[in-house]
Amino acid sequence: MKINNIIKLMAVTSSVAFLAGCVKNFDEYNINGNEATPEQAAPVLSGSLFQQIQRTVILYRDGTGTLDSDYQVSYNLCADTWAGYTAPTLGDGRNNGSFYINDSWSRSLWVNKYSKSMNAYSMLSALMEAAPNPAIVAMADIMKVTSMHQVTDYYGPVPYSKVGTSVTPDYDSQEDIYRQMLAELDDAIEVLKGYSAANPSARIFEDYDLVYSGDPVMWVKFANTLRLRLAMRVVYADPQLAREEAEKSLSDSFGLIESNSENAVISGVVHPIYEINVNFNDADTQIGASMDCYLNGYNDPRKFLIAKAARDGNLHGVRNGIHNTNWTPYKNTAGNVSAPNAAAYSLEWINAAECYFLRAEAALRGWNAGGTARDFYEAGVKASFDEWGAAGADAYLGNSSSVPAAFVDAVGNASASAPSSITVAYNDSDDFETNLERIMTQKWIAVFPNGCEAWAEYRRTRYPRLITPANNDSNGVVDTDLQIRRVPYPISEQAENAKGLATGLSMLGGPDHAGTKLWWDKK
Amino acid sequence: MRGTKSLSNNNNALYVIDGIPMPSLSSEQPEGVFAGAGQTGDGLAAINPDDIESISVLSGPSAAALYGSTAANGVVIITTKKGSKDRLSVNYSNTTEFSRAYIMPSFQNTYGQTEYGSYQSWGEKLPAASGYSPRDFFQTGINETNSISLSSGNDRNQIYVSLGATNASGIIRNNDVDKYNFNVRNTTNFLKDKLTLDVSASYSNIKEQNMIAQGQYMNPVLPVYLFPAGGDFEAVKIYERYNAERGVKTQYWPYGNDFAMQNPYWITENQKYNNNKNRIMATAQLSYRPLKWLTVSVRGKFDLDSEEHERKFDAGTSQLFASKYGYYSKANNKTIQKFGEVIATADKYFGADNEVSLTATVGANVEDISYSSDYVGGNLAAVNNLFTFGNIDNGHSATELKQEGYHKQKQAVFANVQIGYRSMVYLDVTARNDWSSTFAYSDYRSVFYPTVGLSGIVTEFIPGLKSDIFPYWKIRASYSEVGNDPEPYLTYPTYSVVGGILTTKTRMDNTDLQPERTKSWEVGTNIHFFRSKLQIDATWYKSSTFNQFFEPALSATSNWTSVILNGGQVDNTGIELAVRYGDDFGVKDFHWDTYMTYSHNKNTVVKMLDSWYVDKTGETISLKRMDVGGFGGVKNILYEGGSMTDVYVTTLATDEKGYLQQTSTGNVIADYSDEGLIYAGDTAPKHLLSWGNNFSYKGFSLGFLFTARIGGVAISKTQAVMDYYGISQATADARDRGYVMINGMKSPNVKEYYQVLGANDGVMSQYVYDATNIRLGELSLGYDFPVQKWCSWLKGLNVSFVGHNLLMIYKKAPFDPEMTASTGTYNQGIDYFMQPSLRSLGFSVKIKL
Repeated sequence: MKINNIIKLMAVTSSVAFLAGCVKNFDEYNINGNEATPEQAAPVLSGSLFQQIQRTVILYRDGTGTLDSDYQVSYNLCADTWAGYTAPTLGDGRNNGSFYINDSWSRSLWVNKYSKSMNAYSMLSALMEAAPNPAIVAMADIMKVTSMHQVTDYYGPVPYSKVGTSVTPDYDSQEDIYRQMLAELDDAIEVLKGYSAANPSARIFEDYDLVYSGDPVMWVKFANTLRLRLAMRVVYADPQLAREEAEKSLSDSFGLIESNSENAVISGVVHPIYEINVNFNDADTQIGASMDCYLNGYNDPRKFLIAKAARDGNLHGVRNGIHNTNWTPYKNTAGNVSAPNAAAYSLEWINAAECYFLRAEAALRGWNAGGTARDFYEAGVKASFDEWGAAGADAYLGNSSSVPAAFVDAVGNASASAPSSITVAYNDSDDFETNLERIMTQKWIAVFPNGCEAWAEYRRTRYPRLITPANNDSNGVVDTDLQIRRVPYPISEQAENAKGLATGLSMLGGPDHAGTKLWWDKK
Repeated sequence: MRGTKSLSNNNNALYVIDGIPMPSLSSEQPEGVFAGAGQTGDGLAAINPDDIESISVLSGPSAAALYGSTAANGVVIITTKKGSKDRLSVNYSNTTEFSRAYIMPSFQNTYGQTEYGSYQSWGEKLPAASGYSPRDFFQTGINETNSISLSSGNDRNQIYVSLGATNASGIIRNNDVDKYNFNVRNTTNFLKDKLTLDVSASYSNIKEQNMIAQGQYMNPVLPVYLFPAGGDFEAVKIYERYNAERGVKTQYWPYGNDFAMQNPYWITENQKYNNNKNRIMATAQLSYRPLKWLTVSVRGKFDLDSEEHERKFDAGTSQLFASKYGYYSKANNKTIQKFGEVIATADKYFGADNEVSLTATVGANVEDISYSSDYVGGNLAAVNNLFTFGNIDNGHSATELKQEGYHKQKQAVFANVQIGYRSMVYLDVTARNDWSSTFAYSDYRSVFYPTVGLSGIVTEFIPGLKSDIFPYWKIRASYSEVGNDPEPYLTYPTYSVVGGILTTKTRMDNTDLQPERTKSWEVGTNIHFFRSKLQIDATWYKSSTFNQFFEPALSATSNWTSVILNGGQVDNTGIELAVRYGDDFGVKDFHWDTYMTYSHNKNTVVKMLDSWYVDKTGETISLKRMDVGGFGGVKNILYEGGSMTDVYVTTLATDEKGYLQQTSTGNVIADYSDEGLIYAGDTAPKHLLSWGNNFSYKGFSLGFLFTARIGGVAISKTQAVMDYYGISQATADARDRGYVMINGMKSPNVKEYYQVLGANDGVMSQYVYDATNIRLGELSLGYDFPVQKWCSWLKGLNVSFVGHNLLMIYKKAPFDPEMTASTGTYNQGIDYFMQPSLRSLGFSVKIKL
């Protein structure tokens, strides 16, 4: 090689290496090719965001990163436990079940809802501002209310109206949130009714809507039912608002959810309780003691559809708050207690039975419900039997003697006397409270395993009467008989949104602990 | 090195091999309670240690001027061997080391199971102590390395070829590493030595199996440590039994699955984590020296690392991890680094009597790194133990198909000038400008950073000072800056698409990123005494890293859980001291070398987030606390004024007077609340010391090294869980004694007490230990046989015995506090069923032909 050639080679190489300044490819390098660019996402973005809100109404393992353990800590170890549906069989028993609130569990609903449901909602709202579509906004608002009323029902005053406008949003009072949610439903229902009239048999987001395949008529029925649920929730705090809003739904021309085929449900999903019971340490959860008392006492035909029989062929629940260090006798393999029959559970937001029981309560309260409390009550029980595939609803409804059983601890010594003496058969001559308890008790069985709703309604009405935990580890903060009234705010808010938290604490009406009653908790 | 600087990014040193930075390979670190199985070794393993000629370390960020911002945490410079100009020589070496489990917690074996079938050891006192010892589970590990190298050459051409093989098995069955290295390097001089071409290529293949760091899942250490005294471990050894119904052998484990525990032998035999890594590196360097004082070189490197990571769990594995048919996942990871550089170096003297020296370097380089990972994993659907993609249940929501990767390119120009005057005073100035692809779409394109250093040889410019007793004294001072670029893709937000679903991210987009900066000052001195027999090297440094890329948590109510932004400031201040003394005391063929090193570093989080303007909402937010790591009762929490390695722990509930709160039965109460967290300490050492000695006499050599770490805390979650299960020695002692002390009173409820300490997150304040330890780290004894006397073609034969970690002289923690499960920044000093530390003994034979 001649020296000239070598110099030439070096000159060429060095000029190739001397690329500094020639950085035009950098724009291309710094785009993640494994993800969707804004341009690629644009045609499917609004539908995907809509679906993301749906997928986070009740958290489940949807393949995008939400896990069964998110359901476990957000619901199963919180509302499901406090509703008496299931009992945790883990740790030393000093946990949410014994009123010792575990922040890493109780913050989960908060974090998931705001960073997933509301994140998608805020982005969808921004898209809708750029290209308005009132029908989509209406459906998104209904979804948002479905998802977020759980959050205020857990914690009380929470950020709602300011979410998306601030990274440290102020909280809204629960009253304001309920008024806003009801107003949003009012608007959404009107918009969708108008849309449906103008576009008969048209579908919105048919490919994305996991619940109603974009059928606006079904969305109106669902929204009416949801409005009835929320209206009834505030009945002890603002009876006038409750009645007004309820009667709008009860008299709406599109009607309410009336059959199980109309239930709001995401189908084809394995309910997270299945994983939590079967695969998490051979049962991190089992059927609760309160379920045991009612299903056994009534010899309820739904008994072994809701719970699996223990090895002795009976249903045995587990009481909350047992101090224990060895859970082996409570595990599935031991067979001493009943596992949830979770393979049969569906990921349901609202069902026909719940709607009938709400109507029964409206009638009981003397509102214009379009029927009698008894008829609605019986329709609710029948709808529930139909949904579970249980036979014998008529005989069950005629039973005026069976009462809830005492709780017998199949493993330890945490037995308890019967929580109530309420019977099944409706009796018009019973007083208001008795019939209310009857309605609420049957609703509680019928909405299983929707712990969120059951726990909220328990707090609103004090029904059904639930077995108290074996131990109360709240240091006197939570009254054993009144049980948990709310979930304390996540500790992280102190560091991350101190300003907003201060507004929440000022509206809470009590200290930030689990014994403080929420605004609608006025009975 | 010199403390952790970055709150959210990598704090590890950069390896530079023959002038070219090694890419940092992506690897997962165990974080949290469950993780820790299926680790992989680091990328340096691709180098055969016998190919290394020398290693030097540049601790300070001044190294960054030469090697770029990834060098901000210090650089390890490795020079590899070249062929020699001598005629053919062949070196062969064999090193074989045997290792045993050394530091383990103390177990009790006198109290049996709580009841038959229970995994807890709170039962009756056994008639005779149980024969089971967790130590028996561990085997003797063997690590054998064979290496052969060949060097040959003449004045024009030199060649070096080496082959290395390492075959190792760990102390846990089926934890194996097999590594093969091949390397060839050729150096040729042309044009009367004006032109040098240096070409090398290497290939390595590494197979790793069941590399476990720690954690709860798939970790045989957990069931082995907790195995109840009085339980039948022999039955457990028959870990699989034929299941006629399923037509396959399934796991035998009669103990339930608290902690998702499984049969430890099932884990080692039937849950395989296999890594197969192939790496090819090719480098070429052409140097041209047209003038005596000028050298121009061009070099380039191509580095391809291709790794397969497989996980195969047999049918019969816990259903948490697999379907009844099994589980399979496979990731193909590929990293490609391309590097090109041009450097011109001038070396010239000026002045009447050449009193001024000038060394100047200008250069430019390009480094292009791309990484891709293709992953498929899920439960098996139809056939037992058929580990194929086709057998994965693709309808199951746990099935994952993932592709990840990045591509980044950095271009740099740099210049360095060193001016010396009469070999007395030197001024060193460097400037570098980096263009990084990760700044694309931001307001920045590039980042500039300088260094300046001044050093003087005091003994040269104070006349009469220099003497045999005091021959040399140098003082030096330098200031340097480093600018760092962000992670790829941050500046161009995209949507993730997983499982066929487009979803938003929970991390807020922030494209407004500036370079991260480290500024550091350093002063030092080198002093020699007694004809340089005694040498002292002392350095004081201080560095500030600010405008950090870090990821503070946001309130979820913002719609996001975190954001990456510029903020925060971390300072490190410290001293480094090295003293070395070498002498032969006038004895022929004798030499003694002794050296001591000392270092101290103080890390301070000066600022978290003072004020950050949120573009999206027009607000300004600040942050005073950040939870960055830890798990289960131990938290790494950053506060301003604290250090990055501060840990906080759960404790026992106390009343206003400071007494422990007690239940109606007199037991203690755990306080897991955030307000209840107490400061446990700093997991980083306060002082590090080492003292080494080498003696040689007539071919014999003896070396030993003591190391000491003073200060810092270590935390054992292992001990907490062992207490809960009643398997720790502490619980047996308390039972023998009959009580535990609570508020100065004897309480007979030993079990209840320990079960409060160990349950759930644990009362971790009870498990914080002083991490101080002193040990004999290395001992070697060797002999150079005078073989040439006997045989002309044999040039050398050395046989030595080596031992590592032979003796722990002082230690408080129930585990070896120098072991770490994570090479990340956080989660240090926390033991959660790590393997025991090892003590090893071995020998090596080196033959030179």
